[in-house]
Amino acid sequence: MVPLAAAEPASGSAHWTIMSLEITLAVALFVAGLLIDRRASRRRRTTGEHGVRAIAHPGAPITVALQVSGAHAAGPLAGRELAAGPLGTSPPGTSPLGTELVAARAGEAGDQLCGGQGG
Amino acid sequence: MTERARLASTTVVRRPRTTLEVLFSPDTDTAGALARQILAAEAAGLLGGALKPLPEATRHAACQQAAVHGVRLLDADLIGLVVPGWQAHRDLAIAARRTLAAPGRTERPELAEHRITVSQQPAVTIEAEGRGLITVRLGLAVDFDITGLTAQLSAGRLTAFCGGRCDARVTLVIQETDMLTRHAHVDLATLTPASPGLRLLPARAYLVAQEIEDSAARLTSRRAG
Repeated sequence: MVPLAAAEPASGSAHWTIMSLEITLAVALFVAGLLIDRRASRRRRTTGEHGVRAIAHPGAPITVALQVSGAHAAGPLAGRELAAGPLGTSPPGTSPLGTELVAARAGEAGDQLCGGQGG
Repeated sequence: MTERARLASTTVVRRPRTTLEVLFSPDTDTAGALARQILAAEAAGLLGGALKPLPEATRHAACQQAAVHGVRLLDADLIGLVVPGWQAHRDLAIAARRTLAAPGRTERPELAEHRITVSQQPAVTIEAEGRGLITVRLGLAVDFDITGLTAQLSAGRLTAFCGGRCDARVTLVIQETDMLTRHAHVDLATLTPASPGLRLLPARAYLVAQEIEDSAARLTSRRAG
């Protein structure tokens, strides 16, 4: 057994090899820490601060109904709500009881709005 | 929308542009205001106690998250909601076709009193620790009552309004219960883009009109040449 005091000090090149290994290890640990922290913060963002999150469901398209008052606007169809359906109009002169009642999907018109106001 | 229960309060708002500006005034934190409505629905037992087991802070966070999505789902331009109703209006459609067929022609039809009813029913699912707790069914019901309006149309588009009045009633619905109802006077003249105006006919009608105009222009130039 060789006493510690008698051990030969490392040569210059060995010393630098050990130093560079230590530096490499420190950098690797720092990068790993950064990656772990980023993943954790991403998870926090998705699930919210208290481990809750919300998922949106747009649902059925917006339904739009038009009701034009006429001579007999209080007829049986007045105020009735229509389910979503294709855009349509009552043919001229055939509106039931003077009330025109049609349904349209708002989404169909959304892209038809053009230009800015007063532009 | 079918018959709904009612927890609603009513207020009048001035000159809004979007549905949520009618419900919550423009300078309000909209998501925060909607979160309070969801919490009120929860307190009223409309969510079936699904959020009750959660600690208070978590419950508030869940409602806030649901509200953030709800705001995106429910906010819509008022004019964008009215236009599909007008597209189905017979008098407007006929006038629009006439002006599209005759470039340079302008028509000003007077519109009879009419009502446009809009409804939308999105939903938001709240999850905690990866488990779905509840799907909050939101809803928006908008009634536009329009009277004494004279529209101005050219090239098949609605370009302006004269006179008239448009009153909107917007109702926020949570789990089929009216939570908040607000009324507003909608300034249609301000919301209508004068150029190029609002399309009242199907997109194909404008394409056909453009093709006819182009071929007429080609014929004229050929004759001149």
